[in-house]
Amino acid sequence: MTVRLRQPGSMEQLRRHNRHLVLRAIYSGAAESRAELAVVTGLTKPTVSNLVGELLADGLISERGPGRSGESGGKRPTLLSFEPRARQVIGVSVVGSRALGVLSDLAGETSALHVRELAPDEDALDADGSVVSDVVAGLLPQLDAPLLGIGAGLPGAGPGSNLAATLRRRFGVNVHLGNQAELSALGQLAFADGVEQDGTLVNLIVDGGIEMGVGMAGGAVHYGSDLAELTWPAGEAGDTLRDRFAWNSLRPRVVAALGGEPSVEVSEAEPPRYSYLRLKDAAVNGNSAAAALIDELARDLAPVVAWLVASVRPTQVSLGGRLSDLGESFLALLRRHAAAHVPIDQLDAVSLSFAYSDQLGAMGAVALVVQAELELLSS
Amino acid sequence: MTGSLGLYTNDVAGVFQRSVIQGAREVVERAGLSVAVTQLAERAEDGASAGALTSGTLGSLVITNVLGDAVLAALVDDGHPVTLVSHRAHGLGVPTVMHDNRQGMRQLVEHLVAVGRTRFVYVGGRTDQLDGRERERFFREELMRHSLSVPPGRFLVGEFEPSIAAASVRALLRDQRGFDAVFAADYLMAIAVITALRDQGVAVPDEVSVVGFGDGPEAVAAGLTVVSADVVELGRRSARQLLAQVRGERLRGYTVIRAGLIVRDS
Repeated sequence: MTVRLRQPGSMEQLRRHNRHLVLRAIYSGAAESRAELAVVTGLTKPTVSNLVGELLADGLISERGPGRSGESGGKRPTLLSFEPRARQVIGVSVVGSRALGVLSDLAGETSALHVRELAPDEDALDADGSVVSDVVAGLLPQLDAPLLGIGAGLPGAGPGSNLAATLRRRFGVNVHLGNQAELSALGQLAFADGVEQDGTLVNLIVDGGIEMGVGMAGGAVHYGSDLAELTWPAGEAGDTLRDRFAWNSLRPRVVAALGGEPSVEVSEAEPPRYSYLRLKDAAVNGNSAAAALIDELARDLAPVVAWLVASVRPTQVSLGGRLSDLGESFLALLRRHAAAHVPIDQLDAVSLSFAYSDQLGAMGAVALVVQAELELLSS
Repeated sequence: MTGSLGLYTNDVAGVFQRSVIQGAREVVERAGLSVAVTQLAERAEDGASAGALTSGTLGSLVITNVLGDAVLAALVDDGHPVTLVSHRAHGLGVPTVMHDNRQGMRQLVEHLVAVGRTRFVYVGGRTDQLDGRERERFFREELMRHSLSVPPGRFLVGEFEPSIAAASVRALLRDQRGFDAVFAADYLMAIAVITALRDQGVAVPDEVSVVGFGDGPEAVAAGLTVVSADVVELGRRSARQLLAQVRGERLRGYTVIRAGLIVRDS
């Protein structure tokens, strides 16, 4: 097939597209020699050779030695490998009262994190981007390969293009922003173990608020939404999902349930830490108030999960944020309560899981950059 | 750029300190600068001494918490670049480089749970050091995550001193043997624990698994399963952060270096 395009911009776009096609075929394992690439991509052998030459020069792929010759004999092909460490990506997200960045290679292996605590009155999304900039600047000294780009997953809709432009000016690389729940879903599809990459994953982040993100088609499609202001399921007047599930609303009840529990702090000088992890631990050890609170949370969250299952029909629902500390027994409770709201066959088709990491949003931002710059994740 | 960077520590001969210095020196000298190591017998607390202490240097790397908050605050006020290694000074905005204690502990606990061990002993580090406190805290959190519990009598004193760790384990063995795994807050203590166990006729790893935090040639030689918090690399990473500051970058927050699980024979 011959494609004729007049504008130089379009020629450039076509070349970039073909280059990504070749890189993705090597990355996904669909092809590992020049001859296979020509078959898989439909490009001519000279075009493939040129693009492979470019990718070799850029270090994104390497030659790992001769393979087997084909059935008809002949020259043994040189096998090609993707080099995930050829570039690094910085992904940033805002989790609770801190901004957290990861320095990752192209396969999602992280080498360093950088954490910047927020002052009580500080806005992580300020227009001059100083918080996100601090995180990026903190990771730059640890770079071991050229920086491909910067991604940031931010709560809500995010501050949009001003922040991206500011960061691009300061750091001289492309910047990609997204909603952090959405990016958490993308990050799990792209990098997490035990996630069916062809499936549809809904990530529900329950932390300072409640947000959902959806990823599908290997990460090629993703969207997200903030659910915090919903007053559904119908509760008492003014009772939003944030009122029900945000940590700040629930913390006093967690503290009350843990009232009689011994301190678990390593040093007596440290203030007691309250967490869902401690709540779960207390429930396991016979604290009935803790167990009742966990059951109530599962009962309240069940209609939300049921609604997601019925409307999105995902293969997997993953709970993230602080709530994920409640562990597997909470998932069993959630499934039991959700069965009252959604046909059982729909619920049985979904696996429920936890995503413990507080780095999911940042890893999703890494996936966003990898996808935008190299198109590795598109199916 | 020419000049020197100051390194401050309590003990230049300690294995941890020596390794950090080695890594930092590599990076600093490659950048064309020199390193001036200062051993402080006592923690410097007098803010007024900060200028004299760091005089003639472009920046300071603080390896153990030998510079008190008043000294650090004076240096920050003065615009003198400082990087802290494996400790933090809250509220002063001094950047830090440290190992990922949370992820490291999580990997160690998950590894032992996966091989069927559940009756744990924990040999702690020094609780006046951030690494000591964090590792124990994250160990306790991982126990909760796996719904496991460790009785108070199985949290042993180690103080990051192999001889103290070994003595604690010997004392425990006189009392009870109903445990199947020992976590040590650093790898040097873990090696001493292996020796102590074997001396008392306990088979490692057949009867008791031993794992430690951090890695070095001693851990390789002992066949110890660890999270690879390489201390020389910590020195290199810390020096990189300090050099960025010396070149004019204003940094805020702390950097955490990832640690990977290395399963060996213990």
